[in-house]
Amino acid sequence: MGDFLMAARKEKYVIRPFEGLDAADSVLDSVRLFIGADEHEAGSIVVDVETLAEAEFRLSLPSREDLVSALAATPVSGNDSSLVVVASGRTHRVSDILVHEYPVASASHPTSFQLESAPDILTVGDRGGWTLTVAVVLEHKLVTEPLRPSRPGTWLARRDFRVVPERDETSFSPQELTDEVRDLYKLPKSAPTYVLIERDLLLESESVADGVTVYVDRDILRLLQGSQTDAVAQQMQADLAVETLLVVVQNVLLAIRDVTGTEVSTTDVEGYPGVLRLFQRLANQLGVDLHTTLVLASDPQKLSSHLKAVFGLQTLGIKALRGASMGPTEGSNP
Amino acid sequence: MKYPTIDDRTARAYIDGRRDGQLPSSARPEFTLNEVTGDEELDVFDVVEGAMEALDLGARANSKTAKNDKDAVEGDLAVTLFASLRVLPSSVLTDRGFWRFVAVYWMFDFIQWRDGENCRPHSFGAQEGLGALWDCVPLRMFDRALISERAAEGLGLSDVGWGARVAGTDLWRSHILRVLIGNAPNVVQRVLEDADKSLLPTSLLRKVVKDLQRTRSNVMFEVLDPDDARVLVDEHRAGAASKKPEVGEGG
Repeated sequence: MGDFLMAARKEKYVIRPFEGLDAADSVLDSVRLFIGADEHEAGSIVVDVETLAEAEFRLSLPSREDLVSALAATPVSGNDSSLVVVASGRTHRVSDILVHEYPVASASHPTSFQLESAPDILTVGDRGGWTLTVAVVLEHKLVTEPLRPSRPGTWLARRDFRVVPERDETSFSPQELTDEVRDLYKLPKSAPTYVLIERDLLLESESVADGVTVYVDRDILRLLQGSQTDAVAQQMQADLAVETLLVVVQNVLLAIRDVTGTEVSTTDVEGYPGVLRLFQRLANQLGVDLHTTLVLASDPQKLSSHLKAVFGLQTLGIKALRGASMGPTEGSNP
Repeated sequence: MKYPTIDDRTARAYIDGRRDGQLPSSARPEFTLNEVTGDEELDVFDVVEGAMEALDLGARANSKTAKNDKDAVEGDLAVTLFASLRVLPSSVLTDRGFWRFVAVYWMFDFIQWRDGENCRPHSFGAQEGLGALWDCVPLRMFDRALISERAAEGLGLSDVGWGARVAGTDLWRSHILRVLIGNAPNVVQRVLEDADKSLLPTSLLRKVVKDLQRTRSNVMFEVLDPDDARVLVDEHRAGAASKKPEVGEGG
């Protein structure tokens, strides 16, 4: 079940309360991150640990002329906006501003540059992963007008590259549900599983998985790990994956509703990169679009049924039951 | 260059052993030495040991004032810890195994005192499955002082540890380090200034941070200068103060 939160490799954002910023968004389509010789579009980029530690990272940016031309088609001019590149570490609460060209109209940034990774830099080179954000940003306050950005720092367009180590893909792997954990969360002694949600982290972290811990009874977990190809074990794992996803999705929706006060829309989801990746992944698995995924998510019983189908629980259930009915016969004494 | 780390399983076994009395307080967990490219002359173990001597954790935890304000002690010690450990390369400082080593090998008793005898393993950097490391006590102390220094640099302040010393467990853990607002030191600085002037009682702080998080969807806090950060926090504080209390909320 480790990969069902694996991130989509490409994504775009829509700025909700503003209009006329499409040109600014389009001009960032050309932004690329090069890891060694490999070229990457914005999104999540999973790399092995050695690459993360040793590779050279290079960023390509649009030229000043392209940016100014694009901004001319928006309600915000090149004199009011800046081009910024910000690197943020995952291990520490730290960000470095690598590029801050203001105003864009007289920017002199190179269109291709190497990202510095030095012993005193906690962002690029973070062994836990890091995020690079390229954005066109409103630099100073504008007179408030409907559907036009006015607050300093508002991004008109942005692209995020999340460079994550390979091992992070298993960060959703279950922990042992011990008696201490049961006591801590006031669970029954015989509780076999528990999905712990830290709701703040669901929205605020780079990955929704940061706010989720899946606990499985110590004995069950050991048996599962020791018999991963067994039909019953496979069914249990799929069941657990479905249960976890249901709990996570419901809590994500509650957390967003807590912020917005209204039903969750696709634009709400797009405001939280980690949540967006979760729902994109879910949409891909379900074979539907983001909106339909949200509609399904608002009906937990129906979502449960769809997820069980996606995770092959019908087949797994039949296999497990057939195995169970055959088991005693095969193994029984004459 | 070699540096000490402790894996998650060893950390949890040590925590359990100390808590249930199977391990004496003199016992130390086993650590392993990882190797990375770097200054071969730098002895990371010695650097950490030196930091612990400078902190004098036992004496600080037992002081008369400590009992009443554990977070003030944490904030003050954060500045010292940061000053000592910042000489280490990022390859070490971004390895969670290293932070577990600092927490479990050197700071077990302090962490038990600070976060409580039954605190979650997260306080020790344990629980490998969790992506977030922010609540590991030595790491959160390091970040607290790092944020404080960056904010001070932005304002040209000479006391780079001022912000770290503004006490408030919820303030730091729930509203700065736990959320990505912590990545924007100028915004953090303005929140700390208001907290220091008692302008942000708990219920108001909670609303302000909640609203800030919402605004952050559209605004890159990291690029705001100190003046813009001041305006941002002022507006959100005024906005939150003018809201009606929510159901079940006092005041």
